Amino acid sequence: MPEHAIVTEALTKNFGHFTAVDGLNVRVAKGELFGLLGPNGAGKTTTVRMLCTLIEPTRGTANIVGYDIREQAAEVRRQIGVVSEGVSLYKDLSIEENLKLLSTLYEIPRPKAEVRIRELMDMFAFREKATRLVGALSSGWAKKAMICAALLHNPQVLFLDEVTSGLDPQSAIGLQDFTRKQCEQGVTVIWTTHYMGEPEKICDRVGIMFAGRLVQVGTPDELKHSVSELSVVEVETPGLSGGQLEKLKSRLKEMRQVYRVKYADPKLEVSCERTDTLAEEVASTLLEVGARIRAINTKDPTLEEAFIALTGGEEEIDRFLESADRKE
Amino acid sequence: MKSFVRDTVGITGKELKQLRRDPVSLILTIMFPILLIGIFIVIVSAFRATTHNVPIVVADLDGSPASNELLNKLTQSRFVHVTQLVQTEDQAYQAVANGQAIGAVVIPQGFGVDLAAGDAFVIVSTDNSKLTSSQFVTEAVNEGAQEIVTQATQEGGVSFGLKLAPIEVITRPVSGRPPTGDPILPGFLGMIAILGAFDDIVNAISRERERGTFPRLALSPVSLFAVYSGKMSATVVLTILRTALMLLIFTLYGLVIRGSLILIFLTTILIAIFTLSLGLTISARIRGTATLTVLEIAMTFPLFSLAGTTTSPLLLAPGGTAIANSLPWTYGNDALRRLIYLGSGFNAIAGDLTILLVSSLILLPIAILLSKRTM
Amino acid sequence: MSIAGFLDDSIAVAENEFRLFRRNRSAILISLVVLPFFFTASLGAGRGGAGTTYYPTANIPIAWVDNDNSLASIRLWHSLATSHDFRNLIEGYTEQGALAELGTKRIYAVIVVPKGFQNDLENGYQARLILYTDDSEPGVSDQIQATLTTYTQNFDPNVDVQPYLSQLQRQSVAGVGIVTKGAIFAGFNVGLTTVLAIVQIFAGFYEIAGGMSREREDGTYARLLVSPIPIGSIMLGKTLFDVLLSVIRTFTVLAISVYGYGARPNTDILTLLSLSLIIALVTMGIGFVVAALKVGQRAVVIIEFFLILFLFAFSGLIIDSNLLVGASQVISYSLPFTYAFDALKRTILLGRPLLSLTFDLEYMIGSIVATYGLAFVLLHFSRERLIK
Repeated sequence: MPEHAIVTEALTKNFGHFTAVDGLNVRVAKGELFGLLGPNGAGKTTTVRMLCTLIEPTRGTANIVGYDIREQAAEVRRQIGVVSEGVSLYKDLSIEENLKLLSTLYEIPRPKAEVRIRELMDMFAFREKATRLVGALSSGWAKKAMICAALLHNPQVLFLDEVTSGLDPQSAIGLQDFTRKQCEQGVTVIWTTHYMGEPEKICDRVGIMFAGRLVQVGTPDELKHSVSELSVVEVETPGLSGGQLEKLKSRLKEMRQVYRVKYADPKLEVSCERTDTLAEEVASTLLEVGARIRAINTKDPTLEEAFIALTGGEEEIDRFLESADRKE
Repeated sequence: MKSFVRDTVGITGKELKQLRRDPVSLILTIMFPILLIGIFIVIVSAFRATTHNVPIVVADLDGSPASNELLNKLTQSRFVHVTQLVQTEDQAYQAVANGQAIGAVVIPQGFGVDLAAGDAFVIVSTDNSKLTSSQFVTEAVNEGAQEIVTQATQEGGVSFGLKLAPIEVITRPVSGRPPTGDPILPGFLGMIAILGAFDDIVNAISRERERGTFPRLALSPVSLFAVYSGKMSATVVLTILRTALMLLIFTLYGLVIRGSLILIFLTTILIAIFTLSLGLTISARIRGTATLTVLEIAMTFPLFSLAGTTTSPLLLAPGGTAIANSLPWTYGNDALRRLIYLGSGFNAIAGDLTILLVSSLILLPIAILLSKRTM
Repeated sequence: MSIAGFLDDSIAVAENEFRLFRRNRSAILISLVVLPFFFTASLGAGRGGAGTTYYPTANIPIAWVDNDNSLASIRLWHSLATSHDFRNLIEGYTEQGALAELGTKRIYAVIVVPKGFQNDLENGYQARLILYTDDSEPGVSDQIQATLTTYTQNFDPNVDVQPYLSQLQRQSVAGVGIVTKGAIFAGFNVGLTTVLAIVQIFAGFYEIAGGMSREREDGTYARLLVSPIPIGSIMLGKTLFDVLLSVIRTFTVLAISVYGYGARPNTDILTLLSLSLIIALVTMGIGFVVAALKVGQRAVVIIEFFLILFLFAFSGLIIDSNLLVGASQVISYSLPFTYAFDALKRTILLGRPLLSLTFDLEYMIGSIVATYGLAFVLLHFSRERLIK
C-alpha cells in the first residue's frame, strides 16, 4: 500500500486557451483531511474532477492509492467516493433504490450491500426517509443522501466538493464532525470549500488555490504564520462614511502594503503589512479623515486574512473573480 | 388601460428577446419551413422527372410484329426500364414476387391478331407495395399501346376496327393553374403557424414555470391578463414573421399568391391564437418542457392529414372527415388555400375565420383560468 | 472486466431505467399509449378500417349540368347517380350558375354534358364531358376525374344499365385492354407499415437521446461515469429496456389495428416484431450518437421531428425510392430506414418471408452495428464534454 493516498505531479488542465489548473503538485497522506481552499473559479472542482477521472488532465499525472488516473481509471473509481455538484442521484428514485443501484455497479454482493445500506441509513438517521424520492428531499437531506452514496462501497478516498454549501449551520457542523471521524478510520478526504472558516476547524492541512495554482500548502497554523508580515488592526469607529473609507484606504496605501479594509459599522478591520507603529498610523489616519474612534486593537491574522495576503490582496481577488465571471 | 398596454408591451418585448436567445426555437422557426418546402420539392421533382426507370420484365408470348412493336415502345418508354425478357408468364410474375422487378408485362399469344380485330389485351402485374412506382407501369403500357395504334393507323392506313373510349373527360380546374400539387403549399403555411404557436407555448409558459420566473411575474404588480396578452402579442409578432418567411419561400418557388396578403396574415394569426389557447390548456396539465414539446410534435403528424394539409378532408374516410370538420385548424387551412390558390375574398373565408375566432374566444378564458390555478 | 460483470452492470442499468420509467406517469402515457394510439387512430380516421370500403367521392357535392337533354345523357346521369361514387350529384344548375359556386365550398365540381353529346356517340365520334373542379382542395380534382373516367370508359348509350368495370380490373385505351394483376391493398394496411415504423422511431429516439440528455442535465450521468461501470454497459442497459418498450408498442399498434380497424397483416407476429425491433435498434443507435453531441432535451425532440420529416421524403414513405432522382436517390438508398420500410411493406402487404429479404436484413443489421459502434466511440471520447 503506497504511503500517500493521493500524489499529483504537474497536474494541469487547459480548456482551450484558459488554464484552469496549472502544474498542481501535492501529496496527501492516508487518513488525512486535506482542504482545498479558494474562491470560485480557482480550480478546485476541476482538480477534483481530474482526480476522480471525470475529466482527463491536459498534462501531468496523478495517483490515487497507487492507481494512475489515466491508465487505471476503472480501478481508481472503485477506490473513491465523490460528492460534487454535477454528480447527482436519481431524483425519481428513493434513497434506498439509488443505493441498491450503486451497490450493483460497485459489485457489492447483495447480502453485504443490504447490511451496508442499513448501516448508512442508521448513521444518517435516514430510516424513515428511505423510501422517499430523492427529488422530494430538502437540500440538506439530499446532500446526506449523496454522502451515503459516496460511502456505500467503503472508499479509501473521499472527495467532498463544496459539500456544506446550502446547508444550515447545524448540518454543516454535523457533517464536519462526521468527516473527521471518517479520517480517524483511515479514509483520506479532500475537502474543497470557499468558506474560509471551515478548513481552519477541521482540516489537517490546507492547500490554497488561486487562479489555478496551488499557492501554499500547510496546516492552518502554518499558513497563518507564513504571513508573519501581516497584522490586523480592529477599530471601533461608528458612522464612517464611504468617502472617509476611501480616503483612509488611499492614505494607508501610500504608507504600506494593504491587503484588505473591511468595514461593517461600527467595526473596521485593516489587514496590512505589520509594523510596530501600525495601530498609531491607522488611528492618526482615521482622525485625519474625521472619523471617531471608540476602541482600537491589534490581533493575529486568521486563515481568511492569510488567504487574502497570500493571494495578493482583496483587489487582486476581486480582479480574479471578475475575470472568472466573464469566462463563465 | 395605459398601464395594461404598457405591461403588455413590456412582456411582449421580453418574450421576443428570450426567443432571440433560444437557438432551438430559432432553428425551428427557420428550418421547419425550409425543410417542408425542401421535401415538397424533392417529391414533386421525382414525379415530374422526365424519366422514371421503373424496372419491369416483359414476357412476349406472341412474337408478332405488333408485339415486337409494343416491346420496342416499352423499351423506349420514359416511365419504365425493361430489365429482362422472360419466356413464360410464370417467370414474369415470379420476377415481381421476388422483388427483381416492380412490374411484369405479359403480351399474350394472339396479341397481333386480336389487335387487328380490336380486341387485344396485355396483362400487367405490379408490386403494389411500391405505391407510386406501380402506376407508371400501367402508364407505360397505355402510352405504348396508343402509339402503336396511332402509328399503324397513320402509316399503314390500316383500320383496326378500333374504337376509342366513347367519352373523353376534359378537366378544367377553376384556378386555371396546371396540376402541380401546389394546393398542398398553403396547408404547409398553416402547419408552420400551428407548430410555431405550439412552440411559443413551450417557451412562454412551460419554461417559465420550470425556471421559477412565472411566480415572479405573478408577484409583480402586472396583472395576469396583461401577462397573457403580452405572450399572445409575442406570438402574433412571431406568426407575422413566420408567415412572411413562408410567403417569400412560396414566391421564390414560383407559386403565385392571388389573394389579399392582409387576409393571409389575419388567417395565420387566428390559427396561431387558437393553437396558443389550446396549448395553454394542455400546459396546465403537462408541465415539463420536453414532454410538452414531444406532444406538440406528435400532434403535428396526424394534423398533416386530418387538418386538410396534404389531403382534402372530403377524401378522408367518414370518421376522418368528421374529425377534420371538428378541428378549427381545418378551416384555417381551407381559408389559406382559398386565399392563396384561388384568390378568394373575405366573404369566401369569413365563415372559416369566424370558427377560428369563436374557438379561440371559448378556449382562451378556460386556458387562463386553468393556468392560474396550476401556477 | 468479465462478460458476466458487464452483463450484470447492463441489467442493473436496465432495471434502473424501468424503475425511473415506472415513476414517470407522463412518460408511460406518451410512450406506450398516446403515441401508438394517436398515430394508429389517425391512420384509421384518414383511411378507414382495413375491412371497410369507402368511396372518396361519394358525398362530394357535384353539380350536374345537362346541356344535351338526350336519352344518352340521362342514361349517363342515371348510371352515375345510382353508383356508390356519386351520391351527391345536384341537378338544377345552369352552367354559369354552377361555375359561380365553384370555390365557395357549396360545390366542388361541375360536370357539364355539352350539346351534341348523344349525336357524337351515335355517329361513332368520341363524345366529351367537361369537368370543372375546385382544384384548391388537394387531391379532389384528380380523384373525381379518375372516378368519373371509370364510368365513362365503357359507356354504352344504348342500354339503361351500364356495365361497371373497376378501373383497376380492366382499362381500355385505344382498343388495347389492360388486365391488371397484383393484390390491391386496403389503405389502412398500407398506412400500417408507416405507423409501425414511425411510432418506434419517434418513441425510441426520444427515450434514448432524450433520456441521456436528461441524465446529463440532472448529473446522474456523471454519477454513472464515476462508478466502475463501462460505457458499453450503460448503452446495453438502456437498449435492453427500450427493446422491451418497443415490443409493447408494437403489440399496442397491432392490437388497435387488428381489433379496432380490421387490419390483416399478411405475415406472422414474429416477423412484425422482428422488423419493429430492428427499426427500433437502428433508431436507438442514432439516438446514442445524438446523445454524444450534448444537446438539450428540447433540441432532441426538434431533431427527431426533422429526422422523421426527412425520412418521409427520402425513405420511400411518400414516394418510392426508385423514383427519386439524383442526390435524393443516393440519400435514400443509403438510409437503413429505406430498407426497413421496404421490408415492412413486403412482409405486411405481400407476405414475403422475412429471411428472404436478405439484402434488406443485412443492411439494417449492419447499420445497427455501425451506429452503435460510432455512438460508443463518440460517448467514450465525449466523456468530458457530457459532464454538466
